[in-house]
Amino acid sequence: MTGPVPAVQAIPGGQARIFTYTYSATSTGVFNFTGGVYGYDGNLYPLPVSASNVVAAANQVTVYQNSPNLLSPWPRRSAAPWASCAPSS
Amino acid sequence: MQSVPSNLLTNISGTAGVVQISGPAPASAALVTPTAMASFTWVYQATTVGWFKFSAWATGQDSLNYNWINSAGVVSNVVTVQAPGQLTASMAVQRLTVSENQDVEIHLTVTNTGGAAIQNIWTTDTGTLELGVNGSAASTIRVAGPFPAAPGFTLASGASNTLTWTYRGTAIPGVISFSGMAVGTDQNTGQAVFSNAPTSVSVSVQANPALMMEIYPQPASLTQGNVFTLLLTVTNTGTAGLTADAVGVTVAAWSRSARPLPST
Repeated sequence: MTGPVPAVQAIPGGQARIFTYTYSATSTGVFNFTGGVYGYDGNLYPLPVSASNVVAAANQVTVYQNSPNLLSPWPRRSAAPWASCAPSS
Repeated sequence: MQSVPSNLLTNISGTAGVVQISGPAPASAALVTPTAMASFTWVYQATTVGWFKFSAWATGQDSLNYNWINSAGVVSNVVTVQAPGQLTASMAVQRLTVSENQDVEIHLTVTNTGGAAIQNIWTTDTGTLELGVNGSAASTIRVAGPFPAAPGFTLASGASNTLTWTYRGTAIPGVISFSGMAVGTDQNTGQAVFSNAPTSVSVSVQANPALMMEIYPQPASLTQGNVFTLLLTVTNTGTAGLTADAVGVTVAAWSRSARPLPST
């Protein structure tokens, strides 16, 4: 739907930054995501560096089907028919 | 005819200050033949900058009739008195930080801030092509330079010349600085002229930037029609900074194994 946010980030040595994507789950299933990032050495632009993630359970999304609405085919009665079968006290 | 100079008259005009040191030498001369010549020498010392010129004439007495005879006046060429040549050097580096095995340019600017031209200028004190390297010198190598490759150049008064070297830091972490100077010869006096010996600011040699990335979904499980977020955590495991300007995400694998959530 959206992303990455932000599009560009400066990352000092030894530090981390987060890019965010937002998705809408339109179908069910188990999804694994892979990504890549490209950057440029801040000391000698544009010396490129890059990396990608390792696909693993940590980046897995499971999309379930919505729970079904259960409807009874019989008409609703004012009193349970088995009430009269209840043992008397 | 014999003429014996008895008086030598001189006049000095101009803006420079001059002081007579000696002369004339000889004090007088006997010209025993009609075409005889004599030369007389004065020594002056210039004390202030400017210009001056000499004019002079001679008088003598005829040895036969004892009449006094004056020569025609002569005027010297104009002499310019200049301040001594003076060399001023400054040093600048292209970047304050470099990554491992990256190059940095060093600029040494030499200016003649004096009056006289200075010739045969060398930009290092040893006459080699190397600058002085301070700090992590053992792991710093000269890649190129100096450019322009013109040792022994001449600088007129007020002129300057910038020479460029390229050095490479090969070890991390490292801190290096550079020093240099210039030496030349005053064109008027022939005396050696030395510049100051500037040292550059320090250059930091950093570990190359390196990237590591992980993806974390939030939430990790959801029902169809809802929204989830992927957090891409990008880490720079090096020392040098970097700019991450392109990220992308795709679905690596998919399986239809998700079943409806149990009803509660």
